[in-house]
Amino acid sequence: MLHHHDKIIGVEGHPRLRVGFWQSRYKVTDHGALHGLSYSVKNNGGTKTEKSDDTELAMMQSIEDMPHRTKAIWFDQDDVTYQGETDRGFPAVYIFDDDTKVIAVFNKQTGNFVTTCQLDRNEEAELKATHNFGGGEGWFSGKVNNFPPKGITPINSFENDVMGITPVDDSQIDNSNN
Amino acid sequence: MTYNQQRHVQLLKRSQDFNNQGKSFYKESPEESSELSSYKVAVQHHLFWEQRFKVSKLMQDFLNRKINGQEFCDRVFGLRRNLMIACDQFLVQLVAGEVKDFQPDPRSKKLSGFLTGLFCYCDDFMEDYENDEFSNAMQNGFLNFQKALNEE
Repeated sequence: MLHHHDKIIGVEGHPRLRVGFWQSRYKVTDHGALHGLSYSVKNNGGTKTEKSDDTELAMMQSIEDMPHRTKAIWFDQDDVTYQGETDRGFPAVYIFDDDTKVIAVFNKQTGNFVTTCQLDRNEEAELKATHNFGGGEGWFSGKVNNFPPKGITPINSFENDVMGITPVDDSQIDNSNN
Repeated sequence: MTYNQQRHVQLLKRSQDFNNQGKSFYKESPEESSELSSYKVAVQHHLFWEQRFKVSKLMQDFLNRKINGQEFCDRVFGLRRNLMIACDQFLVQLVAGEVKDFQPDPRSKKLSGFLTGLFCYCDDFMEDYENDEFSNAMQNGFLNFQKALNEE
C-alpha cells in the first residue's frame, strides 16, 4: 500500500527502490536504533525505538541516504537473493554500509523495502562471498511472511461489510514480499 | 580453515589501517578481507557455541509456551545483539594482545547459520508470531539444533 511519505531511492546505474512508510512503521521498533534513532535497551538485550511518525520518517530518511555513505556497497547483481536456498527466498537488492554493517533489504521484483538489520560476522562473510544471506543454512523451513500484519491494513471496507465480498489484499496476490 | 591467531591479529590491523584512511578493506584487498572474515566468523561461531544451552532453553521455553512469541523474539534479538557486542569486544582484546592462545572450539562450526535463521524468522514474522507456521518452523529448528548438540 502506497503512502504519500514513501521515499524513492533513485541512483544512476542501480534499480529504483521504494522505502515504504507502512513497512518502515512495521520495522522501526526493533531496527530504529541501527539508524541513529533514540532507543532503550530492554532487559533481554534487545533495543526498542518508539514507534511514531517522526521515528518512522527518520529511519526512512536514513535508509534513503545509505547509498551516499562513504562505504556503501550495492548488491544488485543478478544472483543476489535474500534467504536464498529456502522456500522463503527471493531475488533481492541490498544497500550495505560496510562501515556500520547495516543493511537495507529490498525485493528486487517490486523494488520495495523489506527490512533492515546489522549483519553479524557470519552473515557479512556469506553476503560478500555468495550475494545471499538470511537462509539460515537449512536449519528452518517455512514460507515467507515478511509484510506488515494484517491489522495494519484496515480490513473493514464497503465490499466486505456491505456487499459481503472479501477484498483481495497484496499478500494474497503476491507472496514474495513487498 | 585452520585458525591462526597471529595472522588474525595481523589482518585486523591491516583492516584498521584501511579504515583509518577511509578506504574499504573489502574493496581494496578482497582476498585479505575474505581471509579476515573467515577468522571473524570462527570467533563468532565459538562465542555462539558457548551460548548453546541458553539458546536451547530459550527455544524450549517458547515451544512449551512458557513465553509467547513476542518475548521469544525479543530475546532472540537481544541474544544476537549481545553476541555481536561480545565479538567486537573480543576482537579489541585480541588486537590489544590481551588474549593468549585462542583456538575456536572445532565443534562450534556445527551451529553455523542457526542464529541467522532464527533472527530472520523473528524478523519476518514480526508482530505476527502466534501462528502454526512460525511454531512449526521453530520446532524444526529446535529438533535440528538438538540433533547437532547430541552429536557432540
